[in-house]
Amino acid sequence: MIEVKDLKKSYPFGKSKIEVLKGVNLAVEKGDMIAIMGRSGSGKSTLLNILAGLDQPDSGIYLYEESRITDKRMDELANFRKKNIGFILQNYPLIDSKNVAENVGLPLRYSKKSNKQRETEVTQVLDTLGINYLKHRWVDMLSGGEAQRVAIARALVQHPDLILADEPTGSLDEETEKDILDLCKRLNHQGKTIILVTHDQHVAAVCHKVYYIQGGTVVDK
Amino acid sequence: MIYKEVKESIARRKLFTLFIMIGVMIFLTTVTILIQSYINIMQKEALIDSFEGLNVYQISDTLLEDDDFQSYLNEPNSLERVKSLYEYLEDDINEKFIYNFEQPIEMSTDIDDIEEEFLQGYEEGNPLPPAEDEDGDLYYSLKAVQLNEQAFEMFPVNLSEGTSFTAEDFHHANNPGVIPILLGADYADTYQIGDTLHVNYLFEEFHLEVQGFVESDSFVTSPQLPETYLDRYIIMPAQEFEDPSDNTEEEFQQRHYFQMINGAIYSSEERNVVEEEIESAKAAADFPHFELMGYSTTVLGDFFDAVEENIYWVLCLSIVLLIACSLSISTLMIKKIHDNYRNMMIHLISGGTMKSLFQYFLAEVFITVGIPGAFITFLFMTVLQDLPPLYVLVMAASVVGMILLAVIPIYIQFRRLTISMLLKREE
Repeated sequence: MIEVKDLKKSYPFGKSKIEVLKGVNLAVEKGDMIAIMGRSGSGKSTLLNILAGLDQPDSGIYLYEESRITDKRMDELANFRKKNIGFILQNYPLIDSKNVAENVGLPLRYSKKSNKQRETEVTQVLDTLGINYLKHRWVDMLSGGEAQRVAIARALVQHPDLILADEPTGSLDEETEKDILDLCKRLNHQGKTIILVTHDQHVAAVCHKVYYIQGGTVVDK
Repeated sequence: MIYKEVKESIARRKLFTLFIMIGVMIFLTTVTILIQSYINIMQKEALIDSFEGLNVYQISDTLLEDDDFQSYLNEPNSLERVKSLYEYLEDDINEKFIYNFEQPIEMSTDIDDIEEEFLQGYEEGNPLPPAEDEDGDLYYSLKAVQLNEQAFEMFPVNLSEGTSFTAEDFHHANNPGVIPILLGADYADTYQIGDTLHVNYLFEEFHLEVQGFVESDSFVTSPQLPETYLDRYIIMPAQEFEDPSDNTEEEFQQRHYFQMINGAIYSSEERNVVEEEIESAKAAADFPHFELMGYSTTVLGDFFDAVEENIYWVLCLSIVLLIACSLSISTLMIKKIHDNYRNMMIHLISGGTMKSLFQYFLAEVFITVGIPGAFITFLFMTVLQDLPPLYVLVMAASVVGMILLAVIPIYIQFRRLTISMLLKREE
């Protein structure tokens, strides 16, 4: 499903550059659930952002379903994200000027779905996650666990094949963390491919494979 | 989608947006004042040009004491001599002799037939009360201005309706007892062309025949009154009269001519040259009781210098406001960009692009400037109905200019902001 070859990425740092990814190679099969671990600043999130089509590498190849993502323009990348990727950001971010339904329905707006379609699909995904009772609630009225479920609902609303999650259980208590991981496993059983970025061994333990980023490259463990 | 995002964004910083909108409205109000001032100047440009480089010399008779005046009147040919002086000033002097004099006309009428705004003293809040004659008839003092032929040619008194004064109208010969008049624009609802007003002018009965209406906002000027707007005035030609047939008429003409010689000379010459001209006039008319009182640059010139100075300051204020408003908008938007990295990220992972994010900010600037822009333009178009169609264009250009000035820093900020930077900052 995903094939990454010799991916390199650097960021400007003053007048020089910091090379974060120094030739990453990675293959992910459809239906996999993998964890990417590494120290802070090791490039985990950078790799995830490239896989999501949010960022472009300096060099290397990224193939998704054999389609070359690294050659796409920004608008093509946006379409790629809309069709294929569900992204869960760390610290469960939601837009606080929107209620839960509006937050979850945001990707559907970019897909130019009608109000009726949005209403139906948002209700469906909230039902699936068992949080339909939160639908009209404002974001600042949600607990951490509820907010993360809403963020997951937003990631799932377009029925993507690939879920990318950046520290999905960070800042959550143990019980809520377990609930979220159970949810991830359930989604994986339903056929979703999941890539988690985490520095938590408990989280990594539920995944089929764990990769480490060390010295800018991926190490299989 | 854009509308919803902009609405939410504005709602997040309502007060600041309101502050900017007020700033935009103040800016556009100053632009309106500027436009009005320019229109004012442009309308009077012809007049300013005709006064360009001229000094004004006030002239007056010296018979100020009543005894002196009576003594002169008892001299032989006293009326002929003063008439001769006036004719010399009108026809033979090498400079412009301008007679422009405000002299109320008394008209017997029912107060219900006449608007109070036409009464002398109305603008000062003190309209003159009516005078009562021996028959118990009430006479109301109407504002009137007399212009000699040169003054009428010099001032841009254009007609909206009717026929203007001809050279013959400045001579009271063909139609005794009848004086042709023009009326100010505000009289248009009260009288029509051909109507006759029965009046008392300098204690003599006359019929004033309406032969036209002057355009709105027409004005004349004199050293004493820089701008006399004619909208509420009766405009009379300063007429020359044939020899009087009786004592009553002679006394009237004495009053009339002594009034008319107290005009002003407009000249580019130095004082001594004008004094020589006056001496020649005195000698030719055998009227020694006459002198040059003083001179100044044209009052209207000074007046417009002051107006231009005001325009300069209004222009400075407009530029300052334009920059301040544009900077405020840019600052607010850039602050919003910095505060919204997280939200921008959410939009990006939901399928948005940097281009769509920039469009939201652009739309917000359009709304923040456009709504007060449209409101102020509509307001002034309604209140100030004489604004030219160009006004809308100038206001639109001002709004577009402000939007461009505000958007440029935001655009630069977006150009610098790559998704990678956004992601790193969000982390």
